[in-house]
Amino acid sequence: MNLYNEIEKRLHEQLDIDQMDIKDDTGRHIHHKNFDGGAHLSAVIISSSFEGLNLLERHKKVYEALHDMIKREIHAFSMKTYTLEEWNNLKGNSDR
Amino acid sequence: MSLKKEIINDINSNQIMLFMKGTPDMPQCGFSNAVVQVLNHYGVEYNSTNVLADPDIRIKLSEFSNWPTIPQLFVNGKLIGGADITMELHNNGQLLDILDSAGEKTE
Repeated sequence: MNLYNEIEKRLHEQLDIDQMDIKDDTGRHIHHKNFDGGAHLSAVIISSSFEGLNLLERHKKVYEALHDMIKREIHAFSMKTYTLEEWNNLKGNSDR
Repeated sequence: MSLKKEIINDINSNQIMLFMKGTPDMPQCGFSNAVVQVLNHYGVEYNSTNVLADPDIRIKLSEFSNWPTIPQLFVNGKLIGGADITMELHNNGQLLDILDSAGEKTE
């Protein structure tokens, strides 16, 4: 199964996702000395499940959904987590 | 002392404790490097453990912290987060207060 599809499926199962965007940064790491073959991904995740949670709790929720994939298929998973309201505020500010 | 006890002891006895890949002088991973650079920016004293020195460190640490990735930054015995959270707290200004609470600021 495609890695992206699996990640998206799991996040949708565990969280109420409004929007998400996953990017693959693996190419930037292929030549690193310690490269172990795992994917380097960065994600922006917008979910109402994050409401009332601090950053630590939000990241834990995502990690929980991906638990066994981290360290196996996924070497590094960088993320930004927003509620829809936070995301709209952010977009509003950058559009001005 | 068992490895797990050693890890917990490090977390509780150092006001700022960083578990990372490599050392502050020679980080072996971009995410660990990012946290090191931020801590250096604030000029705080901290202790660090290189998880690459022994694969069991990472396993025992993650069992204890319930956090799967490295780096892991602890202040006053509490997990602050990994590189993403550290950077975000740095960018929104909250990290200064957190590090101040450790009372280790050298300035």
